[in-house]
Amino acid sequence: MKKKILLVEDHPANIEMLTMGLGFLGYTVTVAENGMEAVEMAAVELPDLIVMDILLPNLSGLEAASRIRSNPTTQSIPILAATALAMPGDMEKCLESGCDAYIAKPFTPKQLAAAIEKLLKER
Amino acid sequence: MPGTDIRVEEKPKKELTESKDQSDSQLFLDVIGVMSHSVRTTLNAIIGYTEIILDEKLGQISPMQEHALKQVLKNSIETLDTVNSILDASNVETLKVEVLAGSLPLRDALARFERDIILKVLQKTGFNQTKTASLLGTTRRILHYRMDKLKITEESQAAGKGGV
Repeated sequence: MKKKILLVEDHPANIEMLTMGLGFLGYTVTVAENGMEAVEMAAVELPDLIVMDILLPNLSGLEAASRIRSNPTTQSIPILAATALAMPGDMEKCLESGCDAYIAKPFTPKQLAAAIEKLLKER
Repeated sequence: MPGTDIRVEEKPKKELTESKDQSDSQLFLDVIGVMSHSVRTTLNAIIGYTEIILDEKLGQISPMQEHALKQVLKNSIETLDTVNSILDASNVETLKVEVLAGSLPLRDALARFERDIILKVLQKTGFNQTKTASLLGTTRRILHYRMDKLKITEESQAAGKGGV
């Protein structure tokens, strides 16, 4: 059965590219374009994994991850931070907010898929 | 004004200078952070689409198209290396700590830092001297921006004030 991924991303070209790339690699992808939408969609869609951008409109990815973690319905969904924030300390902030793993942009769809599989295997 | 204790006025001035120094430093790191974020976000789309097309997910490609796409990929990765080199060069705080610890005079520490950057860039660019010279220019500009702060810090240390 195809794994369901909730892609949280606000950059139009990256939304299209990642939806297409992950789709070709066998995943079903739904998209949330801001943090608030991510929190709501996580509870409704109950995806196998969330790929979370961090700099997002309305609600940051860090806050969204924290809210997803504190909701009993969504708390066990693995969250992979996928962000262009790559300054010292950024990875630690993502992990502290409730993300389970971190991948820095740029990455290819195959590299993202490898990180997704690794996290799914660990959980 | 006669009878005014000037030491009382000096303290806020010193605090103002330190506060400006910290905000300049933060502004510098913020600019580098924004630049890095923008380049990485854009590169993510470029590299991702290129891989999808190279894998022929959108249809068969000719050998010439394949060659062109591999050039796109190669140059994207070189751009990322440039960004990473600038990020490394911006991490002058490490050097500042060494100067404060008195382990190296400022001049020696900067020379060592510059040598390390040259070696790193040479390795990353496959020993391409032109690219290295260009990246070194960027690194030096960043270093010059930071030099005043390092000098102030070293002078403070010499005066026995120290402190990071």
